[in-house]
Amino acid sequence: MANVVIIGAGIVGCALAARLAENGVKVTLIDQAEVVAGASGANLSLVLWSDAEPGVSLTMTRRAWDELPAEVADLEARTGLDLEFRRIHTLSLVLEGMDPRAALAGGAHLTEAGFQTELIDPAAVHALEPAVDLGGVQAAVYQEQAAINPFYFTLAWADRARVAGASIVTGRRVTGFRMDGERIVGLETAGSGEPVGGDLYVLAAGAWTRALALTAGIDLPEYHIIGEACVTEALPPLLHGLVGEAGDNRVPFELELAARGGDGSDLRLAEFAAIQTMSGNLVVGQVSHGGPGSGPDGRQGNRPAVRPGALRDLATGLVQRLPAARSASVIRAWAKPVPFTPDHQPIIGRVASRPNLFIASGLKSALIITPLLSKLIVEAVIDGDLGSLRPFSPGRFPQGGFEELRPGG
Amino acid sequence: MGDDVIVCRCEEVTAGEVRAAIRAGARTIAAIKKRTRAGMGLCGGRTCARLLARLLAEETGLPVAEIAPPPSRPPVRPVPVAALAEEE
Ligand SMILES: Cc1cc2nc3c(=O)[nH]c(=O)nc-3n(C[C@H](O)[C@H](O)[C@H](O)COP(=O)(O)OP(=O)(O)OC[C@H]3O[C@@H](n4cnc5c(N)ncnc54)[C@H](O)[C@@H]3O)c2cc1C
Ligand code: FES
Repeated sequence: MANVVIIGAGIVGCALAARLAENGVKVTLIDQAEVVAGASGANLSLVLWSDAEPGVSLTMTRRAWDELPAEVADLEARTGLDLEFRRIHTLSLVLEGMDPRAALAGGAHLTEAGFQTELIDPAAVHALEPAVDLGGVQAAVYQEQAAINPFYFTLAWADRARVAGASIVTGRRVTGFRMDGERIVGLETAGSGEPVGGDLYVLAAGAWTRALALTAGIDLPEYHIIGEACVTEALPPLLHGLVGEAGDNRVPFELELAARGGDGSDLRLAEFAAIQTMSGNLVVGQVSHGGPGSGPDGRQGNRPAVRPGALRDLATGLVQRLPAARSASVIRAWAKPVPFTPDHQPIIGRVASRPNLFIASGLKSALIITPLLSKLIVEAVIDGDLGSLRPFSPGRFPQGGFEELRPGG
Repeated sequence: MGDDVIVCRCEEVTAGEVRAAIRAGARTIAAIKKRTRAGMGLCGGRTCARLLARLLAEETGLPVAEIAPPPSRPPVRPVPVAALAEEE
């Protein structure tokens, strides 16, 4: 593979660029805005294994988790950046009317894989997070998860890519693929600059992937939610780990959205979660809603604005659970699209009818898995064989998952 | 401007750190923000955005007028959590 073009400088695109360039491949990484402009810079910074299912397998997540400290140390040594990687506990509060066992969903599974989870009583919740006031509820506690600075995590991969010789083109929006039959022969881009082209095109554009694949005549069954979150000014230490609510509404929410072909601005899900950064800011999430769809008519949904009401919901959650934060100021809020697929697995691999298009997208919890996944993807690109990534191949969808597969069509 | 000069007071970021971000590829204020935290402070970048634009222009040769202002993120000014929240 002489010459690879990667579209999207999020964590996935940057990690792939670094590893391919380190394997002697000539790489061009292109982004419509800057490095880490999408979901990779808009998340809650969590390195979560409790989220492994549904999603990439628990076995793969376990391996990713075990390898992560060494990956982080390696990135830090190569780039001089401090990624603020730290182990934290995460608490899922069991709210009134909720089945405590549901809070530990997947608990037995996780324990088998060597991850510790337990249900703790209100006194123990208080001991772990004294600032959280919930009038005595139980919580599921995951003792050892982690957090990382998502900007620096992504920038470190970009730096590593540049050092290995990759060329990073920012501020160039790809508007489509130029085709010659089934082959891609170049990119159409907005704005001026050298033409960008290569032998293989890796589509790592996160939630924008479906809209771009459509320009190559491929309709991937990948949709997105729009996630909203906000951050407060820096405060003295209040939280030790992540405090969130137990709930299993996410999967039905996404399935409903998928059933509607991704179009669901009226669908909405509020899940409270808060974590304090190393600088002292509280990051508060997450309100999710459907967009106008990512299909041909829904591209405007890819540049969402924070909705009225999102700040109210985020702030309401915060004063309820963390009264000490009530006089803190909210300084920024954002909304970014995150992709998902109907089976919650990412889409990784070549598209049979488009021999030089490789998809690497659809990750909902990218921070824990990307260092490992990027390694496996680069092996797959170089060997021309997906190996252990085969379950994620676009070929798993009916009819190859493409043109014919329009939901409801 | 010397490298030791603080250009973002809220986040205590120096001109030297901003220049290093530009050398590492930042071509917009948004990109400088992500690498240095300049502009991410309590004032939301109101105090430092123009200085960042100036440094960017000096280092890259781009005309100041062509440098996009940082994306504005609500709330436009810091608002106390309690004022946003809906309380019984
Ligand atoms: C509020 C919120 C909280 C989250 N919390 C967590 C968490 O705690 N832990 C976790 O692991 N995950 C979390 N996630 C999900 C995580 O952020 C994503 O899974 C991850 O960032 C996906 O990375 P990516 O590289 O695939 O996509 P992105 O980071 O979105 O990158 C895609 C890139 O493609 C570029 N692009 C798009 N279209 C074009 C085009 N036409 N031309 C050129 N470039 C283009 C974009 O500018 C962007 O930079 C959260 C997401 C949100 C929104
Ligand atoms: S001076 Fe830079 S954010 Fe306030």
